[in-house]
Amino acid sequence: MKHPTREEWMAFVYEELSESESKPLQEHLQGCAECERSVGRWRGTMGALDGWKISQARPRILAPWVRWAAAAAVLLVVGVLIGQMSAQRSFKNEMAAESARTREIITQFAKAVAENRVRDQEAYLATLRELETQRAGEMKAMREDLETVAANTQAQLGRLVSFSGQ
Amino acid sequence: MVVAFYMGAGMSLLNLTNLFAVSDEQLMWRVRSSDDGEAFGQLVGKWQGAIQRLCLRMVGDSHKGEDLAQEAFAKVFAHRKDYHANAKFSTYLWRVAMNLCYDELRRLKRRPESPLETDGFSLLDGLASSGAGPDGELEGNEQAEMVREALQKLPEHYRSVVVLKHYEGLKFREIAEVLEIPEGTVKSRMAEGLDQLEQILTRALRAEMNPLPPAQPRLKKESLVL
Repeated sequence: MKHPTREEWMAFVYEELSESESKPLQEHLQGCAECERSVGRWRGTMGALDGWKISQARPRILAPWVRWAAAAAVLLVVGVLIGQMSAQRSFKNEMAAESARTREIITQFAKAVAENRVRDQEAYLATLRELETQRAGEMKAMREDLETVAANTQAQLGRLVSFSGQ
Repeated sequence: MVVAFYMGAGMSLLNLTNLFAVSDEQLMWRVRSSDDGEAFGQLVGKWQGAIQRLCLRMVGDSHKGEDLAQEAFAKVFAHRKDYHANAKFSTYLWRVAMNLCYDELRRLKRRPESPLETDGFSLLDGLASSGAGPDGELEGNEQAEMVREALQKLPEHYRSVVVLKHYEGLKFREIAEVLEIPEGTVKSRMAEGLDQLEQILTRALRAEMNPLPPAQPRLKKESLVL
C-alpha cells in the first residue's frame, strides 16, 4: 500500500489542502491503521501545544514609541496645515525645523536602541517622557499662536467684507 | 428588505474602507522614504503582539522575548533604507525577529545564565482563560510550563517551524520564505518537530506522575560486611 508522505500529512493535519486534495488522504486514513495512528499522535501533540496560550502582549516601551511617533506625526501634520493656512514665513520655518528635529530624534533613538540592545530602558523611558512633556508644552504654544493667527485672519476677512460691501 | 438594504450598505462601506486601507508595504514605504513616525507606529501596533509571542516562544522567557521584539522593531527602523518595496513586510519582519532569536539562543549557549539572571517563565503568561476553579488554573499553568520546557528542548530549526506554523498560523509556503528553505523541508521539519515534542512531553508527563525518590546515600563497602 502506498502511503502519503509525512509532508503531505502535515499539509493535511494543518488543513492546507483543498477538498479535492485532502479527499484521497482522508480515504487512505480510513483504510490504514498505521497512518491513522501517526495522524492521531500528531493531532494529540498539536492539542498539547494548544495548552500554552499567551495573554495579550504587555506593551512596554513600544506603547510610548507609538504615542511618541503619533505625537511626532501630529506635529508634522499640524505643520503642513499651518503652512497652508498662514503666510507667516517665520511660523513655517519654525515647523520645518521642528519636523527636522523630530526626524533627527527618531533616527538617534532607533540607532541608540539598536546599539545598546535596550539595556537602559529606564533612561529611554525617562527621555521619552521628557520629550512628551516638551512636545506637550510646544503643542500648547503652537495652539495659542494658531488661535492668534485665526483671530487676525478673521478680523482681516471681516474688514475685507465690510470694505467690499461699501 | 430593510435588513438586506443595510447589509448591502454595510458591505459597500466595508469595500470602500478596504479600498482605502493602507497595506504594510505602503506604510513601510512611507517609513523608508520620509521617516514617517506615524506609519511606523501603525506597523508596530499591528505586529508587536505577534512578534513578542514569537520571541517568547523561541527563547522561553517573557522578558527576553519582549526585549527581542523591541530590538526587532528598532532594527527594522534603523535599516529602513534597506527595505525593498517588492518584499512582503511581514516576511521581512518575521525573518528579522527570528534571526535575533537565533542570535540570542547562540549567546545563551556560549554563556549559560545563572537561574538568578533569568526570571524564566511568568506563569501569568501561561494562564489559559478556562474559567476553571483554582485546581483547573493550576493544571493550565502546569501544562503551559510543560509545553514551554518541551519547546526549549526541541532543536531550534524544528522549534522555529513549530512556532511559526502552530502558534502564528503561517502557511508552510510563507514559513519557507521566512526561513529561506524549501517548502518540503518546512513540512518535514514540522513532522519531525511534532514527533520529538511527543516524546519530550510523554517523558515529562511520566516524570510528573512518577517522581524519582530522593537520592539515597551510597553505602560504604565495609558496612555491607555482616
